[in-house]
Amino acid sequence: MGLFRWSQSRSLWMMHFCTGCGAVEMPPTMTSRYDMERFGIIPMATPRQADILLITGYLTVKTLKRVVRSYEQMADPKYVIGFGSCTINGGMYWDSYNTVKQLDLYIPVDLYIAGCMPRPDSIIDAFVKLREMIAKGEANGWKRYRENLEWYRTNQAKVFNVEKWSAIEP
Amino acid sequence: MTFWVIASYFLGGIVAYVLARPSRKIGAFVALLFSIYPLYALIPALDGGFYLRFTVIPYYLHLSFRLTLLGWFFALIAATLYSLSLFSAYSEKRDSFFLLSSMFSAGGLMGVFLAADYLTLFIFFEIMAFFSAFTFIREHRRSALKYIIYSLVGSYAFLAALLVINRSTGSLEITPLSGFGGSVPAVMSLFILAFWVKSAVMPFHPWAPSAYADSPHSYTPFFSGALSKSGVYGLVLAFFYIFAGFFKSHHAFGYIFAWIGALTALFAGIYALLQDDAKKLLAYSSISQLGYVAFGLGLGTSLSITGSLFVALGHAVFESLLFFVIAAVYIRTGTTMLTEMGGLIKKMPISFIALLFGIIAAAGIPPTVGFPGKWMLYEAVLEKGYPLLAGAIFAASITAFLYCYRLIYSIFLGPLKKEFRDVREAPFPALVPLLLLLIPLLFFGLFPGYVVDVTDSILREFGYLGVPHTPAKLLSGLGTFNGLAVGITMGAAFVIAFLVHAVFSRSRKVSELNNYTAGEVAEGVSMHYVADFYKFIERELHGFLKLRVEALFNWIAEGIGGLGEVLRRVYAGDIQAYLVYLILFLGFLFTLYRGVLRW
Amino acid sequence: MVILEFFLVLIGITALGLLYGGIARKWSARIQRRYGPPFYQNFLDVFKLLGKKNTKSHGVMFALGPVIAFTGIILSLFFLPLGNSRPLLSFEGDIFVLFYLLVIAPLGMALGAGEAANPNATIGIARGLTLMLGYELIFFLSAIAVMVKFNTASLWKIVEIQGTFPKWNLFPFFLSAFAGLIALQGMMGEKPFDLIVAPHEIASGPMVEYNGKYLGLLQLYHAIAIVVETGLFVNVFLGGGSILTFILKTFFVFMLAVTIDNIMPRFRIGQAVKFYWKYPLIISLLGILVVFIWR
Ligand code: SF4
Repeated sequence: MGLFRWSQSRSLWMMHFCTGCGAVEMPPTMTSRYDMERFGIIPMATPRQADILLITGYLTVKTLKRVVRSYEQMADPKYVIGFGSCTINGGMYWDSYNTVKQLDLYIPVDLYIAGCMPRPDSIIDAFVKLREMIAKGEANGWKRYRENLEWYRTNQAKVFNVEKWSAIEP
Repeated sequence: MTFWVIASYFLGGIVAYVLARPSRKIGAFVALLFSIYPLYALIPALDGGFYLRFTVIPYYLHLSFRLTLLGWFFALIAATLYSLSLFSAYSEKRDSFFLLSSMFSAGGLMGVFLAADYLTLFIFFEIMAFFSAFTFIREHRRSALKYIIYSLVGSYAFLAALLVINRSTGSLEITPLSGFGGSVPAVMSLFILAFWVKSAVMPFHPWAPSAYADSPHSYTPFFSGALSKSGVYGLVLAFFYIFAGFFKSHHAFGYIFAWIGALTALFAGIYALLQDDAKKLLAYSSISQLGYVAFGLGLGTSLSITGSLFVALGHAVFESLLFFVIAAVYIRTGTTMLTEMGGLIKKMPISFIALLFGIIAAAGIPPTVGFPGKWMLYEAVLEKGYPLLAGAIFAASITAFLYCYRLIYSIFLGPLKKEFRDVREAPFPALVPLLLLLIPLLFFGLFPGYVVDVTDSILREFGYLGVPHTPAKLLSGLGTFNGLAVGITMGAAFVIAFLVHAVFSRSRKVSELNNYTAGEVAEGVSMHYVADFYKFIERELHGFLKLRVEALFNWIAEGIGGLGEVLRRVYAGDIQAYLVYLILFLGFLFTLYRGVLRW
Repeated sequence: MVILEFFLVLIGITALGLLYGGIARKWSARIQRRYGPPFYQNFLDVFKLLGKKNTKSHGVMFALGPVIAFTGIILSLFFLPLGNSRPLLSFEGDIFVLFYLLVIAPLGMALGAGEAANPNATIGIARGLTLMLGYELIFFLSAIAVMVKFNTASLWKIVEIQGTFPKWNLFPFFLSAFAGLIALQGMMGEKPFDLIVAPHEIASGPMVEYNGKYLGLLQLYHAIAIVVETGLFVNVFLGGGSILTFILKTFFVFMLAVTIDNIMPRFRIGQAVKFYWKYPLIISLLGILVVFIWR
């Protein structure tokens, strides 16, 4: 178990769901200047293979639906990082009619990165923080999601303005 | 006894025809009984040496039969496949006429394998050709006629060769020919044309895809697996028995024939992967496999002949298995188009497993029956030192991986089509051949030596050395292949891999809509990537694909068609007309024979 | 005892493959002027994947796919002599057997991925099979030049006949070896032939639906495949030697492939097949011609 958790903290495959303008900070983080592969973090093509879901910036209601589906397709354990002020409180879109203001009402967020937009340094900082949290067993958003699925579903349904909702229709 | 091996089919055909009128079940059952008898009679008859001659019309027409080891080998394959095909035919609810004509065609085929003289061979060859066409002439007139016409071209050539041989040797018995000087190549070409056409080796293949695709689905396994073997049988007989002297002293001929075989294997493989109809795909795959056989016969070493016979056996096993699966699928889905199926693995698991093993064998992966034959061919071509030929057949075998994957993916994998939501597994009789054919498929792959035992005796009859072997191991002087070792290692490796898989936490099954589609749910959109599967290859080979022998034949046919217009006025243009042509031609040849025109 | 040896080989080669993968990542990173992950990163990845929970399966074949892929590659590993110190099973099957055994793994993976009903997976497979039409043929043609010259199909004998350093086949058969190297690049799916996986176009192709332990199995398969594929090339062209030299040689061949991978863009599938049917084919045919002149 220790081996697995240790390797989980050291090997993080990330799917960056590029929703907002903050995504532009990802390329420098990945490439030579900041090189996040140092920490075993590499971008992945599909949620199936990923461990981290990185929400980079504002989320419209329409996109949220896709985010939730993608999140549910990931295998446990999985982590969500909210990236930029927009995911925390709406940021500069705080009064917009169609963006989601607070991400962790809909999916469990393990870590937020504040800033508009956060510099690669702080992104790396967040990853290191996440590593520590995983090693200590504190990053358990995926457990919370499973335990409080009803609550999350209700919130999601409310913002989608539907009665009932499940991520993948049968 | 040999007489009854053949007569059983004809008698059975008539009895089944009569009985199937009132009750389809009884008819099918009787047909099965009559078709099992030859199988029962053939199995112990391995020692051969049987000769039978009886007179149909005194002084004019004698039929004579003999059980040679080569004939036994092919007859056993044919008898087995025919009995199996009846199970499938029962599930398909075939009528009495089908039973009659298919029984007669099987009888004709047996006659070909057991004939002791050329005339008997010719007569049964014709019976086989016509009655096999009759099985589907009612529904698919065009392709049946195409098949008949191609067969007739071969038969006429054969008849001409036969008359020349008779003229020069004074006997019709099938014996090794020696002498008559410079005309041997011509006679031999005429002689083998019939078998060449029947084995669908290029360039005389165009009848095969349409005939295989249009023949009744339960009959096609026999058609492709056994009937085409009559061509192989004839080629073996011609190359290594009748014209053996010529063949051994003229290496160029064998070399050219080997190239024809290799290119057949390659080109047919390429065509196969572009087909959208499962049966057409398999038809081209069948042509491709027979290309390997022709290739091995052309090389003419004992290793390559053994390889050829092994491929012939393997082809009979897996190709008919694949056709049987298509038949089973057709019973439930009513289609053979690859583009219309998909996801049937969840509904028809047994058919899926059969098809899986079938394609593994068709791709020639050890330890199945598809591999040892191909392996011997590679060793033979290496032994001869023809690297380009080796490259050509290797390329052909790569195409086999391609079309095999396409076949299994399009039918059984991918998303399930809406209209097949409540399809069930095929009825039990249709599954019988699938399950039974899996036994030889694996057994002869693990123990190729048992087949080589038989082929060795055949080769010794032809004056060749055998291939050194033990039951599981083949040795070629250049390398080895141990089927059992591969099998055991594979089993062990599978256990290891499966344990690694099983140790870790269990997985949860998700619906097929739960797919990575960038967050969209693709309901109502076809997620089956199936049409134009190998568009890339089609695009790259565009120029090559435009060149088709069929175009040449069509061009010739148009020319003849102009002539035919005249005859059309006289005859109605149906099957009888063709029979009349045949009779006219026979009369013409008879005059030839009587010496009106001296050779 | 024999079984123990096979287990040791299996575990050793798997570890070796993972190590190669890790070093290759480090090496790519250095080429791109990055720091790169630790050399044992691939071990961590595999452990993590195997330890994941709640993996999703699309059906029986989907689950069996990686298992068959792993089976196939173990099988080919056992039929590959490791230098001329360990014949393993190479006396039970020669190079043709190995060629066919090598196909089991991709076919298994293709079958599994096919059940996922994800068109990305199938497009990847169709590309992979099409590419096979290119590289398999080239590799075969370059290997058969050697086989015809030595008049044997046994990989072990080929290794033995050529002996050690200055007598490597690489030198007399340099044309064939060059073509074989190009074929190897496609066989291993390195750029410019990485269009099977192509993460940016078709979301990692056949692997698109695989997660958790299935992906872990595929990683293990990939690790062994690196050694087997380079090992095949090493055995045919780079002579024999102890198991240590074998490892070194496979390492260098792999690193060469990775280096090329780093400086190449990606072909379209049509271009890739056409490329294989042009220059490498001509080179390998010339290689065969050389053999015939030499005789
Ligand atoms: S936090 Fe700032 S940079 Fe990020 S998405 Fe919102 S507005 Fe854009």
